[in-house]
Amino acid sequence: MSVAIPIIIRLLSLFGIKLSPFVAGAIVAGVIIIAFAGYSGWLVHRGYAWAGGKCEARALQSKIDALEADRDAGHAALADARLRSAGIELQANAEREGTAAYVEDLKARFASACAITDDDLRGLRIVPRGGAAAGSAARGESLDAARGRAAGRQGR
Amino acid sequence: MQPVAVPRVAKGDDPKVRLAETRDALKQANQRIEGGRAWYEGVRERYRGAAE
Repeated sequence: MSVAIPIIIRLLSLFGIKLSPFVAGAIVAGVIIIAFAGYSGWLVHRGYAWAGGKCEARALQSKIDALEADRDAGHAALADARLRSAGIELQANAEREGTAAYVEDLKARFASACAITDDDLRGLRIVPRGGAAAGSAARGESLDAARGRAAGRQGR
Repeated sequence: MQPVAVPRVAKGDDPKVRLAETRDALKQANQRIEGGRAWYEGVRERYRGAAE
């Protein structure tokens, strides 16, 4: 400061301006204050920018973490869904096979129930069209006897 | 969670066969509903665990 004041007085006297040491000191002090204020402003601005950048970086990192968690959860959910659907499909196939066997069994039972042979009719009375009063039934003839008679007729 | 195909019933069908097929379809539909519910609960649990 003490060096700067004589230099300023000498420099300004070259341009024809005469200043007292007090005014020169005030000018120096003003310049220093303005420089300090400017630097402070710049520092504050820089600090805000730094803090803002850091905050933005943290927000982005948080967003990335959330997206990664979502992706992992999605992968896990997909694997779970595949596992479950495979299990259900497996069980459904087993049920279907059981039902197919049951249906086959039903068909076999139905076929055997409907496959009536002559043996099933053994012992039944023959009832002619005229009714029970007429024909063989009236004589109390059985199927076997009627069949024997029919065979005899054919043999003749 | 896909729907199960409903067995078609036509005149003259064996009712026992159709009953067995319908029972199968119902069973499968119930399994799918239960599976879907369990899957959704699993997803919710995962997110709850991640949040805590």
